[in-house]
Amino acid sequence: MKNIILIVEDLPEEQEKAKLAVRNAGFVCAVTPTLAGAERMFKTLEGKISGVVTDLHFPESDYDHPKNTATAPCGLAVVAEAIERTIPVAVCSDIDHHFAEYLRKVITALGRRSAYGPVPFGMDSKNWETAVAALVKSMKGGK
Amino acid sequence: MSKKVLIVAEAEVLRSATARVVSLFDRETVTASHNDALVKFLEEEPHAVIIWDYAEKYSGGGSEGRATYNDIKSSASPEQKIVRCGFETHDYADYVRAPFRLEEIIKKIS
Repeated sequence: MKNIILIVEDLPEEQEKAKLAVRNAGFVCAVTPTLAGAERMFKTLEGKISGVVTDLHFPESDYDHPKNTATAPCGLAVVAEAIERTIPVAVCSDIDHHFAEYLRKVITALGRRSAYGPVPFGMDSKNWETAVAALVKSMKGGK
Repeated sequence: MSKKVLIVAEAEVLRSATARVVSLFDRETVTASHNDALVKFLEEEPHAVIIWDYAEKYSGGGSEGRATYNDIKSSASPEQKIVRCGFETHDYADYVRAPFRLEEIIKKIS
């Protein structure tokens, strides 16, 4: 099987754009809209995931719950999990860069622990082609 | 895309029985447990998937069938037909309540 790139994104129209970008780059695409789904896929696809591209804000659980909102930056947990598993990871987000300083600091700190160097972090507008290209570059440049 | 159908169920007897009847309709079949379902789906690139054990009224929030459905549905392309089967009553267009007539599920995956 071709190598798998895991996409974590909750908006269906963005998921379709991400799938296209991943397939055009020559990879197989697995997609999940939640942190719970991402954690499940890290286990079920163990050893088969070549890279991860994650949004920042999406629900934690698969199931409806009053506290299960898409406002928490669950993408940070995905970045941390990927780095712990020595999997290259990139962030694709439309967060305004003026309000992203705390996220940039966390992602930069996490990137220092990554075997693949700094975590590519796109913001302001989601561009999956750019994010996947940055991930592939990161995959090739692993330490 | 091939006319391959992936059948997912926890019970081997259910997987093989479903595969046997689906193959009568000139479809190639592959089977998987819930644990292997996503890997098999990504490897085989089937035209359609039948997922057994779908349940929402389950203590703890979800069944294995529901998790498998979520993972495969979000990873599928729009051309791939994904059908969920269970014993509860739901109005989803891609849901089939068991027991069902064979023609009903074949229509959903065609």
